Amino acid sequence: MTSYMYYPNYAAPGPVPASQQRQPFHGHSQSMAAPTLANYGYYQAPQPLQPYYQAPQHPYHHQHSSSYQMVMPPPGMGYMAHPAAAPAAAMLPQLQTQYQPQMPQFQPQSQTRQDESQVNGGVREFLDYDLDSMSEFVVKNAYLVFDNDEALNVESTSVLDIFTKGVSSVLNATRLPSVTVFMALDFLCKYVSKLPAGIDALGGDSVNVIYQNLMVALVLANKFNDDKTFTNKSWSHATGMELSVINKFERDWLATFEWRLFDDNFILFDDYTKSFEHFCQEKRTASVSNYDIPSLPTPGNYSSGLSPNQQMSSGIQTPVQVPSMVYSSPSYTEERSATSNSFYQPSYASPTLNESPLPKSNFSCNNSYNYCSAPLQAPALAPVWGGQPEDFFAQSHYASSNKPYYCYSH
Amino acid sequence: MAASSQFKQLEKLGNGTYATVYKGLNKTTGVYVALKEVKLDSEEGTPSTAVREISLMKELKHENIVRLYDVIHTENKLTLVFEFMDNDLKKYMDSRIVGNTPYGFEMSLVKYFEWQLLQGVAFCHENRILHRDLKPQNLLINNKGQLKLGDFGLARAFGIPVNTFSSEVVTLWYRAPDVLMGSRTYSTSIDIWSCGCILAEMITGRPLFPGTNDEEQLKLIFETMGTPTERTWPGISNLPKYNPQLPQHLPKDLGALLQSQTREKMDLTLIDLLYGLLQSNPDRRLSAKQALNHPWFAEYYQ
Repeated sequence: MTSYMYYPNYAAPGPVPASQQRQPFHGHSQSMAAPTLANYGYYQAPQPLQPYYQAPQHPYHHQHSSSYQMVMPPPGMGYMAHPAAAPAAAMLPQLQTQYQPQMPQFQPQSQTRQDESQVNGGVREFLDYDLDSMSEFVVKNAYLVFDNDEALNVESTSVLDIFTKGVSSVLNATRLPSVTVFMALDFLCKYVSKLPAGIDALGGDSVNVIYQNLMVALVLANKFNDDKTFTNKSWSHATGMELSVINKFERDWLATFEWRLFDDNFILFDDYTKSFEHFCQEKRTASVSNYDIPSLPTPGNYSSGLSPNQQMSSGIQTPVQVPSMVYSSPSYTEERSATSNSFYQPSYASPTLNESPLPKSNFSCNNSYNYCSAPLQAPALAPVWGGQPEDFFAQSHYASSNKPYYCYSH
Repeated sequence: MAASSQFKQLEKLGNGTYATVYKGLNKTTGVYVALKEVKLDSEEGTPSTAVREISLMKELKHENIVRLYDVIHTENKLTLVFEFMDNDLKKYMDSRIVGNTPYGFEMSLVKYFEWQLLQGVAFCHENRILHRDLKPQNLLINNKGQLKLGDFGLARAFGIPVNTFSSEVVTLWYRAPDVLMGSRTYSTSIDIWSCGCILAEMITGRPLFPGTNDEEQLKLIFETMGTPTERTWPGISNLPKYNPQLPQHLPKDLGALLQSQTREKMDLTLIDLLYGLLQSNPDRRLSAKQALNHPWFAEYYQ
């Protein structure tokens, strides 16, 4: 099974009637509307995450009364509004009406619904960046902070791929705005520099250490910078890190920072923005010169985010295959920007998708378009999203030492 | 970093937005403090309100902003150690109600409080921080007549791009019309509107726009200040919750309205300042710095 699938972005016959568009909202209540998801057909992105909806009632009893849990979060993310002065009941309808006009008007209803689920669950309605590019950018920066050269290798390792996938999943689930992601990188850099013994105090530059600290940086940047924040339990689901570990890291971080997360007004924001633009530019140039871009309609900024592998698979995949594949491995539609008119939308299988990872020997590598995704799935799935206590990077090392397991040569 | 054993917990002062506040005594120095205790929930982790409040207040050292002395962070409790203040403006105003009749403050006190309020707000804005919850309950006062901004649980930084501003900020009565209409691009002007509402309330002893829901709040504002139009407020019709069927009201005479509720003499410069703070169009509202330079405050800077 492949993890790259393309939803046909059917040209809708016309605007979806407003009443139909609104319909999914009616199911929203203050408790998360997991049950209503069942009606949404195969496009329902959150399906793989349903295990995490089982206990949606987080005890916020000690909190301000107006903080609430938003309905229909994406992957395991319980949404919590910034506590505000208004009562919760008054807030929900407002959010609905505000988002309504911005909904894509020319999409099949099922897709509209998917968008809504992301809207309601994530921080931002539309990502202001290409998910792939940002994930790679984040991983490379994190490696650099830890003086780990691995990310600079031209031949990116499987560990790096898995790392990037994990970051991509987290970003897709949380839909953090770019400013928050950049702030997290800034935090990470500052944090390491504040430690007298440097990264040795954290346990070195292993992927695990980098990943966990990067995730905590995202947790704190989200709490500091966004009006929509997530509980640490939700972060635990999204990152695969144990709740107690996130809590401990968070305390350690705040102590090391002495809580001063804004002592320089995030002075490097512009630098991060430029650096990311440059990164995307280089990526675009590289992909143009090294690969023949298939004759697929991949206009606009969207094509820039495609890795060569994705481009290949996009040439093979046909919309006809989509429905059955979505069932077996539901995915999230990425970056549905209003300006993008690409016919095919890429989607990424989240590592959560499989509750039980495929046995290693069972990898079917008989389709050439599979070759990049199959190896990634096995190590990535269970640990990141499955809530298993062990970190998946330990497993990923194992995976990389078993070369036959990769199907590069098919 | 202090330990909680350093403080003797005294009487409860009140419940904040996400915490309980006690009076405390620093046993080593004999200085009274306010201890804001936040119970921690392991599923939530450190509340974002606390992350904001602490990290922002650490950067705000000003005589009109309550000082945060220390933070004690344990696994299940977070204690913020604040400068102790005797009272808050809400309780102080309530204490002046005689029978059922509220009384405003003497004009000199109104002016001194508003001046200090605007000083504190100006300092926040200079440091690229929005308070977003200015109201009498969050303005702390002491027996020396000092006024200081407290409760930064809703505050946030601005200046870096802000994509996810919530419009669910500021207690309803002090919420600006642009925010009520769903604007997410607000900035410092959001706090200025609150300063205007608080100024009027100090004059009369009554909240200026005591709405019970968003619609009524807007109705009350427009009945007094006049219904804005695309001409008086370019871009208003693009706001998410703009209602083109809004009943059209002409502006009332705010000065006469307030004067009828106070025995203090309101001079024209005060009324002019009120209009400057209570502009429905956020772009027309004075900045905190401009307000401080307003002729009504002339006695403080001449």
